[in-house]
Amino acid sequence: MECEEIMERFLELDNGEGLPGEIAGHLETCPRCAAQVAAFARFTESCAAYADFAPQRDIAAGVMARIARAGEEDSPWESDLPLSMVNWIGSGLVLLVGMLLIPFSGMLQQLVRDMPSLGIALPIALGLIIAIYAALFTGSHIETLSRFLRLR
Amino acid sequence: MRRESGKDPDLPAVGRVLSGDREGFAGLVRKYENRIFSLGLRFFRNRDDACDFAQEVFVKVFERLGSFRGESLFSTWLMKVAYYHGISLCRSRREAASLPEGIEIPDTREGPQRLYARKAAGEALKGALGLLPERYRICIDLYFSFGMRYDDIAQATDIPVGTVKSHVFRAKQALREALKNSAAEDCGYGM
Ligand SMILES: [Zn+2]
Repeated sequence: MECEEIMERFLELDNGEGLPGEIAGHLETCPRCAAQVAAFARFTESCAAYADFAPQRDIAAGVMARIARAGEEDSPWESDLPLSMVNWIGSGLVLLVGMLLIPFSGMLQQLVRDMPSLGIALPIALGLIIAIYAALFTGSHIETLSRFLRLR
Repeated sequence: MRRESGKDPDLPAVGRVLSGDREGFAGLVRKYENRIFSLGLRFFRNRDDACDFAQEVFVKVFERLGSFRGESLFSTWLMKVAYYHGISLCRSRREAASLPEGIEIPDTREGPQRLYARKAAGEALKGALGLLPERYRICIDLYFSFGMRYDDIAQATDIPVGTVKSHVFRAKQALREALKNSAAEDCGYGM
C-alpha cells in the first residue's frame, strides 16, 4: 500500500510546501501517483481564478477619495496646521517656561502692587491659555491618542 | 497569494503609509483589489455590492493600519478584516462562502480545453465545499482559491488550525476521488 501512504502524505502538505524527497522519489517511478499529483496541481491552478475576479470599478481611486474625505471631516486641524508632534511639545514647553518665569519679572511685580486685582486675573488667564493649548493639542491628535490608549 | 518565504513583502509599503505616505496605500489596494473583490462575491451575489464591499474593507484597513503589529502577513490581516466585515454584513442574511456563480471567469483568452478543465475544477471544488458545514466552507475556499496556508486561514477566520487542516484534508480526499478520471486519462491507467 505504498501508493496509498504516499498519497495520504501528499494530501497533508500545506500550500507552498515543497514535495518531500520521499514523495518526489516515488512520483518518479510511479506514473499513477504522478498523474494524480499532476491533476491536483492543475486543479489548484484553475481554482486560483476564483480569487482573481477583476472589479469593474477603479477601487483604488474610490478608496483614496474616501480616505481624503474622511481625513478632512475627522480632523480639520491636520490640513490647516501641519505641525509635528515635536513642534507641539516644543511650543508647549516654551509656553510653560514663559509662565514659570512670570513671577520673576520685576515689571509684573510692580503692576500687581499697583493693581491687586491682577493677582487674581493673571493665574486665571494663564490657566485658560494652558486649557486652550491642551484642547487644541488633543483635538488635532485625537486619532494618535485613541490608538495609543487602545494599545495599552 | 502563494507565499515564497516567511518575510512579509508588504511590510515596507505598510511602513511608508504609516509614516505619512497616504498615496502609497493606493499601491496596496491595487495589489489586493481582485482578491478582496473576489471574496466580496462570496458574500454578495452581484458585482456592485462586491465593489462597495471591497472599498469599505480597504478604508477600514487604512483606518486600522496603525494597529497592524506584523504578527501575521499583511495579506492575512487584510483577509481577516475583509472576512469579518463580510460576516458582519451577511449575518442577518445568510452564512457566506460559496463560489460565485453566473460570473464570468477571468481571462477568456484561454483555449476551450483549459476552460473545460477550469469548469471541471469549479465543479469538483463545489462538490468538496458541499461536504462541509457552511461555517467551514470558507477554509476550503481560502485554501484552494486564495492559495492561503493552514496557519494563515486559522488567523484570518479564528478557526483552530487543527480544524482547518482536518477540513482541508477531507476536502482533498473527496477531490482526489473527483479528479481520478482526469488523472487516469493522463497516465493511461484505470484507478
Ligand atoms: Zn504510486
